[in-house]
Amino acid sequence: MRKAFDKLDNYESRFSGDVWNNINGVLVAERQKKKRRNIIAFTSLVLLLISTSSYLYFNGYEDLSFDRESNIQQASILPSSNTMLDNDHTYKLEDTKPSKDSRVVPSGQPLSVYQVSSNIKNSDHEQLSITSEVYLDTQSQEGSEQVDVYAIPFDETHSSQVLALNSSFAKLNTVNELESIAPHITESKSVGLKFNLTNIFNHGDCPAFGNANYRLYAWSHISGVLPLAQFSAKNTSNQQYESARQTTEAGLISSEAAIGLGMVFKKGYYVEAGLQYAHWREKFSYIDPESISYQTIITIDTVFQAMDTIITIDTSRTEIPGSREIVNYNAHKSYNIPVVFGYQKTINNILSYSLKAGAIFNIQLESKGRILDHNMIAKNISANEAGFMDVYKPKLSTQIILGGQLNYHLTPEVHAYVSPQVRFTQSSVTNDSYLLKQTYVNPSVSIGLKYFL
Amino acid sequence: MSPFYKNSITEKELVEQCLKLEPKAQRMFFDLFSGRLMTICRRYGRSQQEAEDMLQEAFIRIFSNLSKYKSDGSLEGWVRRITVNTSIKVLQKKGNRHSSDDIDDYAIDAGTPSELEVLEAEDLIALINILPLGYKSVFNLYEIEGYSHKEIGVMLAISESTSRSQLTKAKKMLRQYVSTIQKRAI
Repeated sequence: MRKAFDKLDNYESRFSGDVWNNINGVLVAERQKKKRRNIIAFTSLVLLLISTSSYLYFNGYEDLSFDRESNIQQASILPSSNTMLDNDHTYKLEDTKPSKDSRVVPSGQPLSVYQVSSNIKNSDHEQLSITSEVYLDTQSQEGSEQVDVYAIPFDETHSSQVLALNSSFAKLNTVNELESIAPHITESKSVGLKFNLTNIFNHGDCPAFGNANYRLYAWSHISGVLPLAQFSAKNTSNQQYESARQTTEAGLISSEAAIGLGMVFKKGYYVEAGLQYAHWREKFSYIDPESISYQTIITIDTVFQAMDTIITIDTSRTEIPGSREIVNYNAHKSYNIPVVFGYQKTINNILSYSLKAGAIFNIQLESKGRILDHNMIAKNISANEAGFMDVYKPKLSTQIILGGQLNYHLTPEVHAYVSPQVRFTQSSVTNDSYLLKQTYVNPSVSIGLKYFL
Repeated sequence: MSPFYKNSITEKELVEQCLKLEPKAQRMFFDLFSGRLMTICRRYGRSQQEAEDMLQEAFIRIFSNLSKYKSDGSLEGWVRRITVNTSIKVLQKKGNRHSSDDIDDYAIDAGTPSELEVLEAEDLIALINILPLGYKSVFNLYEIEGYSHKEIGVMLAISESTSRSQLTKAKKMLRQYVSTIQKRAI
């Protein structure tokens, strides 16, 4: 009997075209899901790379270079309370000499490097009233005399006093010049010292904290955002509708603008809040299988008569049934309150970066455009139009923000910044009675300005 | 020869393209197997609509599991297995039990295989579809797909002996039906 049915093996049966349409709908949704996953993964990877490389370069890298030295064990960028500069822009070199405390070099000006005999150093310093030197190294001179090498901010008075004491002295404007004063320092500790001295030389474009523990600033930015809607059916019977909505709607590059106030603390933590206007755009396109288009035919006849010419115009309208692609650009306009917490670290005199997290609370949402209903018919979602489909909540769900920020210090008071972020809506933006859940994952990039008050 | 060979793409390349979610490759893959897989679905489904639902479900499973396909085996064999399993799952999901309760009243006479061999493919599908669900599944799995009674028992959650019994009855019922039709034709 098996032989009788062998002819079925290669027999091809017919089926309706809807089968492929339905399968393709699922495949398209899968492709969009993959695309979204790639965007999120890429953004996360970029954020991870920026934060990891920044941390390693400015912390781990420095520590490694100094560990090899016996008399300067460690150099690190630490916040300080006894300087007029931003905590992240103050550099402290820890001195291993028991007689000296850790010293802080306020910078933003050329540096003096001088050498003083170890035997007379203390009295020299009392005479010069030098309080902000930093010990770099001890060198052995001819005749086994020990000479300490110090750096201080350049000052004409001090430099002449140092010279009067017959000490070696040099004003340095670049790191490389240190080599002529203390070559072995740059050779043996070149990596660490260059880093520190580069910062000391160039540093200065930061807002002063003074005696205050925090500074207030105003901020404003514009953003490019890609709203990526994600649909999920509340029960399995709506899966086809879910894939239909996923297939017919696609997020477009959209814009946002925000303004607000922030507060940065000496320790580097900051908090920001403000008001944001968002205008998300989506493209809705679908094939209307029962579309009717109209063709208008205008017939113009010219009739010549003895005395005159008469022109007759005849208009006829023909109904043409068939399918047609309908494209509509939807918009979701919303007002929101963003609240962000972050931690900021300085890279050098002109750059700093921060990692941040927070939430965006929606206070008003207005949607316009069209979407498919569960019968696969395009329906209006604009609330002010008759017969609209009431799908969206009057307020969007709270969005969670994760992101980073790179600040460029234009002046001590004005910083420009760029901030890549990923945002997630916490719960569905649609009504409870709606058949699908709709959430968003939005990658975005903001550019803006901070002004320290 | 398969259609994609005409377009100078190998089976392996087609699978690779589908794994990259290339729309054209997915359509080509569908065109390549859909007709034959629909025949399978028609053998299991009780209506054209149910068969199309099975085909749709089968292709979604095929595409989402394509990464599990090992290229050393037959691609067609693999997609056929998925389609058969999907068809059975669809029937089970709809609450159809593969029992023999509904066929005990049938009178069964013996017939000959040669009577079946003269039938066309469409007639054979129609013939299979007259069988009650329990018979049909066992008959399809054993006679056409080539599964053993032990395997069928596991797939349909029935005993091996029930599978044997249902197959015997299905065969006899088919022969009787063919014989009746032929007598009427004469």
